[in-house]
Amino acid sequence: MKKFFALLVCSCTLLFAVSGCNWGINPDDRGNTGYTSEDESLAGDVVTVGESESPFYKLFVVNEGSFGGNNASLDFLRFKDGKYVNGAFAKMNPAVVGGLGDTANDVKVFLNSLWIVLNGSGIVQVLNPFNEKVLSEATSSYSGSVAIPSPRQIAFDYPNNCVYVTSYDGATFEYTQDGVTGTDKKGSLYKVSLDNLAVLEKVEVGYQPEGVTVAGDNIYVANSGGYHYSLTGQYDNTVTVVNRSLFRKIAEIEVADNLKDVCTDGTNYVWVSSQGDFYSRHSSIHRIDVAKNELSTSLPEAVSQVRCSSWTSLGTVSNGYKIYIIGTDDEFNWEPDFVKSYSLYEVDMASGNVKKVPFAGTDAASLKTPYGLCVNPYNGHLYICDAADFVSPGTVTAFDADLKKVWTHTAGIVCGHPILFAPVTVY
Amino acid sequence: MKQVLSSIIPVEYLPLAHGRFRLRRAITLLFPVLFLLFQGGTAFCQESPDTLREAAVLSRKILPSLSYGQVASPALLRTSPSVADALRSFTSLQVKDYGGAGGLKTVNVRSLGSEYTGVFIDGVAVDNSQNMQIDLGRFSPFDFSSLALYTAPRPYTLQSAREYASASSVHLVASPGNGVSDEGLRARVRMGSMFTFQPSIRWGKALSPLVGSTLSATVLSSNGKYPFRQRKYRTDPLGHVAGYDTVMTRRSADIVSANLTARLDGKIPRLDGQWSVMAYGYGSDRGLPGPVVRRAEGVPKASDRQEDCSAFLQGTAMLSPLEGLSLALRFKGNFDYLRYHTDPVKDPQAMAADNRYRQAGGYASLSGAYVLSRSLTITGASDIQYNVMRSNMRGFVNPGRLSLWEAVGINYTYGDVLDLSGNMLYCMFSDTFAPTRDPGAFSKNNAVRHSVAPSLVLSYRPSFAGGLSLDAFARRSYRMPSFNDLYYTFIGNSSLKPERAWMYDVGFSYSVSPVRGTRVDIKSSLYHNRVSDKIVALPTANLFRWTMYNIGKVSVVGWDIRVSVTRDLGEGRPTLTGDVSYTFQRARDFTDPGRNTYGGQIPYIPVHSGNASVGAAWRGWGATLRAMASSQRFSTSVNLEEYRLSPYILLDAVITKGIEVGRGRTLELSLCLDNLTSSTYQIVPNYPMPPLTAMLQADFSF
Repeated sequence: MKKFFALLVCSCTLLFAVSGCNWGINPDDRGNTGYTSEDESLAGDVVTVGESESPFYKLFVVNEGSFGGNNASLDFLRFKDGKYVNGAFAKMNPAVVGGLGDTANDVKVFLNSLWIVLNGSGIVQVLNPFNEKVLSEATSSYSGSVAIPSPRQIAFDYPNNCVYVTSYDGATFEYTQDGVTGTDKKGSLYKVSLDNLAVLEKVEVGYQPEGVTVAGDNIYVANSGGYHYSLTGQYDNTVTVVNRSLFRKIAEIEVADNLKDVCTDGTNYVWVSSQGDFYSRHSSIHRIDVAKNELSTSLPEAVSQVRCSSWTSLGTVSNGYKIYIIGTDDEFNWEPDFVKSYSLYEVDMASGNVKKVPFAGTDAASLKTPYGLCVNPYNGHLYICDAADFVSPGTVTAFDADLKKVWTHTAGIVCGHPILFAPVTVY
Repeated sequence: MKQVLSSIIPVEYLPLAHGRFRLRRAITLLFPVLFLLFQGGTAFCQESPDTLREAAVLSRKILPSLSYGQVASPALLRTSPSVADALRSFTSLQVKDYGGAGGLKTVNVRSLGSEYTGVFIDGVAVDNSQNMQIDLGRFSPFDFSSLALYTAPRPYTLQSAREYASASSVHLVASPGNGVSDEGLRARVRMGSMFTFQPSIRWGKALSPLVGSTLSATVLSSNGKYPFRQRKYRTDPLGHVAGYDTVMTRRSADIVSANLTARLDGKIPRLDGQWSVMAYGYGSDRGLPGPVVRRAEGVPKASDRQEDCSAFLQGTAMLSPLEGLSLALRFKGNFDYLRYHTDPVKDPQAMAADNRYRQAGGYASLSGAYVLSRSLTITGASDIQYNVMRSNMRGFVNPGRLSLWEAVGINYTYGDVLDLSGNMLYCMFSDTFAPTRDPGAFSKNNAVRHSVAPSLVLSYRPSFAGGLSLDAFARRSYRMPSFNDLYYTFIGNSSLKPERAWMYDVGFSYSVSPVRGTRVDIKSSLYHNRVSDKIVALPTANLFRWTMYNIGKVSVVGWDIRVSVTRDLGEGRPTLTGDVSYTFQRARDFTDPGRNTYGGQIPYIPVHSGNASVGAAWRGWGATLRAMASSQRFSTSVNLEEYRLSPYILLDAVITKGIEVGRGRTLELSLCLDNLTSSTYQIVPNYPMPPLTAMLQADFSF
């Protein structure tokens, strides 16, 4: 495991060894910004982490907040001393009017920067992960955020020096007086420069795009069609393929209804998840062959039984790529008192082999609404966010590889997006 | 004193003069006595004390449970921009206000929820089957002579059967007098902050000795722009205080509205009766600014809009065809249209919507009362109603509802001392809707729902203590699921049952005149309400998809007390009024012991709240200063800092001057200042309320 991780760090360093990159905040610089969030007064609670050897510096947890409630929040756990801080954005950026914003939907780490997508505020916010301050204070002269309408998720394209943002982009439609006729506008993929956070261009994709990832020469966007469904009764079921250099749509692949997330090994395969229709069609996962831009055939039978409500992926070229998925067979039962039972699936991206571990009988069975997860590749720990009843603050819990609880802590409203951050050295 | 009364009521109808009590005459007295009471009810008024005391005596005799009533004084009604604003001065209720001239305003009495409050115009219910919430901001006090709130049934008033079903009722009375309107011409102009301009005109003429008529029109225009302050400070790790303190502008909250009413009323001398027919139309076009959330600089913000129009035709008739028997007939036909739409072209962040809703309904009611003996009266009421709703939303099920209410009651009086009244209400609702293909609607077609609501009201006036009244009631009420709860696309759950509420109350009211010219009224109630099967929304798949379930349980314990003092020393001396009230409401969520909501205070209800006002009137001048205070509230039952709404104190002031212009005509000028201290407060989270607003109002009667 240690060898694997050493390999990971080396490959990261090699990959990102370019000078003049604005996102390469040198870890030694963090003391120069006045104060860091390592300060004792922000301490929060201390968690017995049990993983002090981890090379990761922090676990960030983004809480979506209530819809329209303007209460998205950012928490973190600092591994070296076990301090958990709630609401770090507001504490470290007291002058930002309105706090972090409304309905955070995605969080990503890129080099030494932390990116949060605020769907309800129409803002993609960039932060310094060492002190959670808005990035402009640390490095450049421009504002550490970019305005995109209804942004959903982001993906980075380092060689092209840009970041892609999926956006619902003002879906409009027309009603006739009594009936419903739809001509609703499709969503867009925005291309934003990593030099100055300027919006460069945009291309039309499918209805209400969600997940986005970069593989090979192309960008893959999963379209859900949520509004389209309310208008016409049809979800969108396509993955839009956009060429990276031309930034033009080159293909549309039909997969399944209501697509949400995409993940990739970078070269061969793109996996995409479908949420189903919540009442009669189950969620599912599917694979696209990047070389042919077609759905893979001949996947193991077990893949069609995988249920997916949230997932994460990680891996390396040498060790292979895996997707970790949490899903439930009780997807259609919405009775308020019913307790759903979830399982953890591990899917190998290349072979499609599935390992299923039910939560029943483990410490993870007490989770009420698992809403997001990430995996620590160093020690195999799983960090699972529980959104509970979507009104009370949720919790984030760490489990070891046997699903035994390591630690837990209260997070914010609709806790859903954990991500690990390890500093990289940039030359 | 008799001279004052007899100028309004023919002498032979005065029960005190005759020493005998007849319901038939009581009903005939109804309108003029109500008129007196609304002028001289609890605490808000500025009438002479003799009239008040007399009215109080009459009230105890004829309408005992009026001690459960609160009435707005004419001055309060005249200077309030809407009925909702006038209600803010009442006790044991919360006005849920989204802010600004066009924001939705609903009233929640005793923490039961605004769906339990019925709104009645001239005794006929105002309907909204879509979500059962009546927007009180759209009623202008200019069209109504009185505003009252009741929390118990009023057995001697021939109320309709469905009024027995409301846990509390807001009554708007369109015209005073005993049935033949002849007011002449009255005009009002109101203008001020937010570029508000609201002219109104009313003309009343008696067409014959038995028929009167009234026509009125009001137009309102306001740009709804107001500045609001947002500030938040915290101590940073270096020990400095950092934060932000900024002033933003509330935009896209404009409103243009118009309403017209036409009314005919009259007397039926042979049957001791009166009747009225009213046609009412209202239309508006307003912006809905939505909650204040963080947005990128320079990006256009939400501009949702709502257009609506509604019209109704209603009539009432009260008559006494036989000795001892009194009847009230009511009917109503109504039509409502509402369009809610967003503009994603202007604001790409907006969720696209263009929803249109139409509702239509018809209603008829018959109530009767029969006097069996000196002490016993039986009452009965029967209502029938049919509503339909249509919408352009995909898969809308076009629901229709047939509703029946049947009520019977017995009222027992023992002299002047005891009034006991028991009622039983049975209601039945039969829904039809087109089954939808949409999965998840829990389809249950042709559902019939029943409910039974008994009530017992007691009023005791011990003869050893004049002016003291002890009152108690035990009632059951219910709330039917609305069309939205049942059938709204993706959210509705057509298996919902009605909510059930039990209400218990014990209280007293005491009226005394310690020195000549001064009157003190004290009123207090202790109450306990329990709601079960409460309809709550729960998220299902994700934040965007919620569904309604009958899982809630709420327990409310409340206490309110009001003390008011009036001092009137006669002509040439100032009249002084003052009142103080305090409400305690512990309304807790006991839905699920396993959830964080258990035991928490339910949304928007403050534990402590109170009002105070002082007023003076002298030589045509009048001034009132009003204060309203509220402790902290939470926006969910999870009572955490994230959901806390700060406590606030509001100050309002009104200065009026009456000027004699010509023969018997008065011009009343009023300056109304709301939120004198520009207090920053919110009723609903992220919906800031306006700072100081000033309005100048001129009332002229010809």
